[in-house]
Amino acid sequence: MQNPIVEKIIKEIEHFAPKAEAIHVGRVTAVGDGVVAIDGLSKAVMSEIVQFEETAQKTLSKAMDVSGSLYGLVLNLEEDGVRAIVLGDSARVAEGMTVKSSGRILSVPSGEELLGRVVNALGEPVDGKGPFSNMTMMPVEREASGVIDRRSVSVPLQTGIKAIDSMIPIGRGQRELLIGDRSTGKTTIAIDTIINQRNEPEGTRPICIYVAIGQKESKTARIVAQLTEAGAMGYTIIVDAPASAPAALQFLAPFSGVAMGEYFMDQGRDVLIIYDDLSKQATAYRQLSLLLRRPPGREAYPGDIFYLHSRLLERAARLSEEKGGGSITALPIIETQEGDVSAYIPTNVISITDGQIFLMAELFNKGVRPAIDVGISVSRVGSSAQTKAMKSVAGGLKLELAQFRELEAFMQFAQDLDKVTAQRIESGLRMVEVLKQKNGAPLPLEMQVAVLYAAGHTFFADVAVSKVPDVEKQLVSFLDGQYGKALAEIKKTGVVSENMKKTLNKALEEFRLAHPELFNAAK
Amino acid sequence: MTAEAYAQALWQTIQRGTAPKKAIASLHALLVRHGRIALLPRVGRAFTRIALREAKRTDITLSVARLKDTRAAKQSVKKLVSELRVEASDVKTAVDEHLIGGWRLEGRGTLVDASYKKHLLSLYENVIGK
Repeated sequence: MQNPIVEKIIKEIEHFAPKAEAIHVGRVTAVGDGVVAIDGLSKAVMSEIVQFEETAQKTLSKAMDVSGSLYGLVLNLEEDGVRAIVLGDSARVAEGMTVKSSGRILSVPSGEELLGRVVNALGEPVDGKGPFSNMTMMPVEREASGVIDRRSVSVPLQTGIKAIDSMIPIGRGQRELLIGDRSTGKTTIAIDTIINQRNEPEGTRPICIYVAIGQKESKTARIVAQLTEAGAMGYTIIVDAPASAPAALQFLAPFSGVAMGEYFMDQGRDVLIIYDDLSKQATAYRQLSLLLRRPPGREAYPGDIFYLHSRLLERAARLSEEKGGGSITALPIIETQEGDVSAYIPTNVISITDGQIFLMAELFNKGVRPAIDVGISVSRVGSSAQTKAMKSVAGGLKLELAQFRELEAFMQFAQDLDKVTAQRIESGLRMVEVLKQKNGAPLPLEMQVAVLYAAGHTFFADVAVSKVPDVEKQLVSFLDGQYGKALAEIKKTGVVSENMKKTLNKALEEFRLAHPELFNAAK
Repeated sequence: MTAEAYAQALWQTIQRGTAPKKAIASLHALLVRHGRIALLPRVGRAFTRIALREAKRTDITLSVARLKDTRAAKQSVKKLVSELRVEASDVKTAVDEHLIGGWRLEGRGTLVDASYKKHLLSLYENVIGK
């Protein structure tokens, strides 16, 4: 009986055709901090992949022990050589090493097999679930879709977060920035948005890509566990470039993520991509640029730092029907220092994106979570994608909350306030409570509409402010159990019809009668 | 950086046909005029580096596993060498026993590897799916 391994080797030997092609090479003249100076390679092009020849001057057995090929990415074309960044362990590169030109631009694998997997910035699996077999290579640097290939944003992307879907709606193909200090809930919003996509029908459910840049491995592991537990990993790809990864990979990770997303977009599917976070990518790029001896500009960032982010975020688009109708929605995250949104990178990304969601540490510490500052958060194109149902219940919400924030300062003079102001404050207090939401608990559209309808019809007026979240929770559970099928109509039609209003009024009345103890306790 | 620039200038002056002795004398005078004569030793070292680098760039080396393979290897690379516009006599030969057999021609920014080692490695990578 033949051994299958021997069989395979025999087959390989029989079909082996030795090739002796002339390839373009250079030689490493200097290496340090992940950057390599290469002499020669006069035909190299920008963003070309080069391969370091580690097997030279080694015996065959030692050459076989070399683990995987080591690649570099050409970033500087100079008069008598090139400078490249090492895409891996730069300790493996030695002076005098031969560097082979590949003639190809950096690409990453993409395809259905990526779903549910954790990969690094080069698209290599890092979750121990084995290699990929049937993948399409997508270029990491690709020109964004042109004007003719695009159409305007008109389909909503539901985040499942009441405060966002009602007041700062996001559309498919939009770029909405999540900005705030550390520990204000930016990642939580992003993860909840991914989890909420399980409420979407499978046919229109977006593929989610979470790009972790410069994050702690423990945080990424926690996110993977959370998504797995929520049943969201089946349609999610995690691109991980942790804090321990070389700066080159942290700089590349967002581009790799969007390249993977473009594969799905080209097939007419919707994609949601989260860059967590671009501040760390900018820092990694600054490090590389300084090592590449590019002139430093403001805050020591290179002159093309704006272009770095604009060319990345421009790749988010909603394609025309002729191009398949797919979309990429981008949710970049920026971390601010002490709430300073006027720093260099935040202002750059604010100007590139189609709106921003500001998260305030002050609100977060007060227990308002998600800690969204509604007054300065905005979605420039999302409103045209918002469903009529949501518009009908959330129309005046933003203004009401903004007015409440203005009046909040007068709350300590409660006795001296006129009736209208006092009422507005009371209503605002309850609305803030209604909009609070626990992490990992996104609400489907119909439930959000029902809750906001209730809030807009003074349903919570008789509920003590501190009890509003509890009552809301019970109401959602009641509606889900008793009126789930009826409410599904809202999602299906996208409107709150007169009949639906009657159904909602009836349901709210039923709930009120079933739980009288929860009401008449406003004081 | 400045020393490197002076060395580059000196190298290019010589490449353009100026006699080395004259070029060095001119550089010396220039450094005195610029008040940078202290840079001279560094310029010298930088010039040596450039010269070595350029020599490597223009060299063509044919590596074989055993000395006795040289003649056959030279015969095999004849066409390649003429394509690279190099005189056959300018091709240096070296023995690299790690190659196992075959030959490897490297120089002027080109590499042609027809060694047994490279073929065996390709075979190994195909088998294990590396």
